[in-house]
Amino acid sequence: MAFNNDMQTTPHEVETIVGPSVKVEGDFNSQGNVLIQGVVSGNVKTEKYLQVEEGARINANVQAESCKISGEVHGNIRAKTSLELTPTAHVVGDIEAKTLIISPGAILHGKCSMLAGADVDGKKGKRKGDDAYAMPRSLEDESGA
Amino acid sequence: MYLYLYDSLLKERQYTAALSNLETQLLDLGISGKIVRLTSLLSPRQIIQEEIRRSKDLKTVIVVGDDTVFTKIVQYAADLPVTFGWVPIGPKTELATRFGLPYGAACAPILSRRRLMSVDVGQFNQYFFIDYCTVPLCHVTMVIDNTITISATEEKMSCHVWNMASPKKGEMPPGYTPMPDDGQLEIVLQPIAKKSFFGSTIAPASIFPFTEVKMKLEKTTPIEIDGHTVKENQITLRVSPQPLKLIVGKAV
Repeated sequence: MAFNNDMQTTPHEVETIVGPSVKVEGDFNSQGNVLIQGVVSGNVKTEKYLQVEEGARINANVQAESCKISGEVHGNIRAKTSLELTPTAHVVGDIEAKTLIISPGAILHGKCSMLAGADVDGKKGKRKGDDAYAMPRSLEDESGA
Repeated sequence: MYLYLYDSLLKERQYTAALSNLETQLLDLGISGKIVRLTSLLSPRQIIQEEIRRSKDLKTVIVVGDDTVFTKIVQYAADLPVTFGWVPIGPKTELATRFGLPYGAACAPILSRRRLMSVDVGQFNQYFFIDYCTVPLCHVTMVIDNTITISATEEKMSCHVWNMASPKKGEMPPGYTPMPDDGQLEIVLQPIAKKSFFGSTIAPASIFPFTEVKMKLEKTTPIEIDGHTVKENQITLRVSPQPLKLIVGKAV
């Protein structure tokens, strides 16, 4: 299937669309890009791009290659590469990403961790302590001292 | 060996010339074979199975008829281990043109060239389809791949599975183009259009790729599969593991 709609908001070929008049319950696994405009109650996992539009809501954990959140997420978010929270985003949960973009106005209630290269592959690199996220080098030196 | 299944409609006088032209062309190209005329008493599946039993050399079944006949044969016999060909002759040959198959005798060189395409086949309960399946407006609750439950939050929705791009403009969600040979099918949930003073607005559709969908309707509903109507209230939609091998004139 090819889908090239709404290129301004979705610069990806979307394979799965959860429309605004649909409610999905259960763990949602996808191989391709996912666009959520409705309600999802269950974990969302995709190997590619995930976009949660304004007015959409996810009530569980989210895992994707990259994410753009404009709606509500009540759960933890893990993006292997980039995570973008737009001004209308409302996240209640911890977030993990390699690259994080938070626009002014976005609401985040939770911890924020930055993934290093080894963490992206699911392996923990050699770190001091139990912290799974990369600290700025200056802080790392201080904590080691 | 080739088996030719002739539509019963081709007995009519208006198709005599087209049929004799076709038979001459097939003879010239050396691809003539056994001819069986379809009747309402014989199931196409039984005919093909019987011919496979009689001759183990039977590898190709050519349907001679219009869209209605071809899709009817596909509906019952898509899973049989043969390659299908199609010579479109009859009143409605729109689906054939989408496969690049010209009308009548002009199709003979295409059969001879034998360009094969693996067309995805959908399965609606016991029926197979290659073009589309439409469940009319209903209160939708469905289970996809036994993992997720989908329900409509507001009004009724119509459910569509398109294997090929529909020639009707505006029928499919904008930008959505199904591929008949990508090995997957998607179910499209289209909410009812809201009418207002300024005209009607259609809410965005939902699209879910699936391998199996189970639906239960409130009452027995007429469901359209490749132009044929069946009445059901319990629906199981699947992607058939075996694609249909079809001789085509062009890539779809």
